[in-house]
Amino acid sequence: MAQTVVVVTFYSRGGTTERVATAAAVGAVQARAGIRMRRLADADPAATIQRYPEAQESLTRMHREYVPPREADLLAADALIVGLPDGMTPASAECSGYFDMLARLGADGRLAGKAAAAVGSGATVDAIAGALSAAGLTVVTGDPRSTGDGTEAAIALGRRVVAAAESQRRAPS
Amino acid sequence: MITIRKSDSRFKADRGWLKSAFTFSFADYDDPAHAGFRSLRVMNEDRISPGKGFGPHAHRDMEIITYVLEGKLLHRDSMSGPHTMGPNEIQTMSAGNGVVHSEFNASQTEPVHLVQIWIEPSAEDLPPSYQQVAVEPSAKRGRLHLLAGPADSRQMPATTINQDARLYVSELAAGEAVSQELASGRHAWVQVVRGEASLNGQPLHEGDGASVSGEPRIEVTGGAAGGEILLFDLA
Repeated sequence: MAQTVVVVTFYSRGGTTERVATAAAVGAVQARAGIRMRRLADADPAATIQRYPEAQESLTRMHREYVPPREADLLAADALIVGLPDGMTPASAECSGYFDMLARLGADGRLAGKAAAAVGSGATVDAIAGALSAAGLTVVTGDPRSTGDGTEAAIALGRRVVAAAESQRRAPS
Repeated sequence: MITIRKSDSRFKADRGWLKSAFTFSFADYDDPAHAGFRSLRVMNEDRISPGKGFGPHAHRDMEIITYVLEGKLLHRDSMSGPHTMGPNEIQTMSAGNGVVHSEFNASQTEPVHLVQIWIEPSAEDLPPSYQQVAVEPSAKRGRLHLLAGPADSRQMPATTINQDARLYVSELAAGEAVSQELASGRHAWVQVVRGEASLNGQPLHEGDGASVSGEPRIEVTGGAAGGEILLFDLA
């Protein structure tokens, strides 16, 4: 079986959600998957920095280090991990394009057989998981912030989503 | 036996912001004749444009050593960071059971020129770790300074790796020589990272590397304008 591919997509300004998403990626790597890290883009990066000056350093860095997810990433993935900060939803301005793409590919049946997981907390995780499930992905549940700063739980979730993706790949179609 | 891998024969990759020379197979370059030497798996010379670099990506089960020749490198990983490093420092990252990291040129105006080395670890699934240590320039002048080695080395290495391999650096003036006994069954790799040198009398130029097997002793001598070499003592 070819190496399982996990695409980790997140939005972050100050770096907190980036850390949890990275921890989930580490879990996927521990499970011997290949990963791609993607950050949802700001519509106007300069305006975002101006609006959140306290996050200028991390925003500048993330604008440099990450590219946004493309359709090819979703199609290449065996599993998706999606993380958003508290208070954001799939309908938020930075996220809607991604979740619209997810819904469209899901409606076309092109995400069938893929696993997914949401990282974040509370209502945000529920909203992400709902959108992933509606797109036809098999959602692996878990609360990555159940202990400490959430990184250990996110690592465990990354491992679980790889196991779920590989189980789906082995299942007869 | 000494086998030279000439600088010009290395695979060259140019991505615009990144100019690389691969001594061994790496990424899309797959050459069974140059797939590594003993546990030494990768020897890349990279020049990264200002502000550019490698975004977050993952590694597993590899000892990754970076030696900067010019400029500054900005490192972040899933364990710690950011860390900025420059010449006369050694960065050793044990990827172990999984690490995500990024490496960027820390400068917006100057390029960074570095050597990246991968050594296969002695075991899989080890805990990941990051070490960055400054090297006193005088410590490598005219002698072999141990940059990386296993924790049980007789001489304390600057950084530890999970493999029976030792990486030394030496900066040699013209005609200045260092030597290393190679125990029975041991092998060596010599990489010239600056200037020129000779290895047991065979001339090496910048970017050249050479494998050494079945030789009880190796001697490296600085060329006409001097040189800086990396020497690997390998099982």
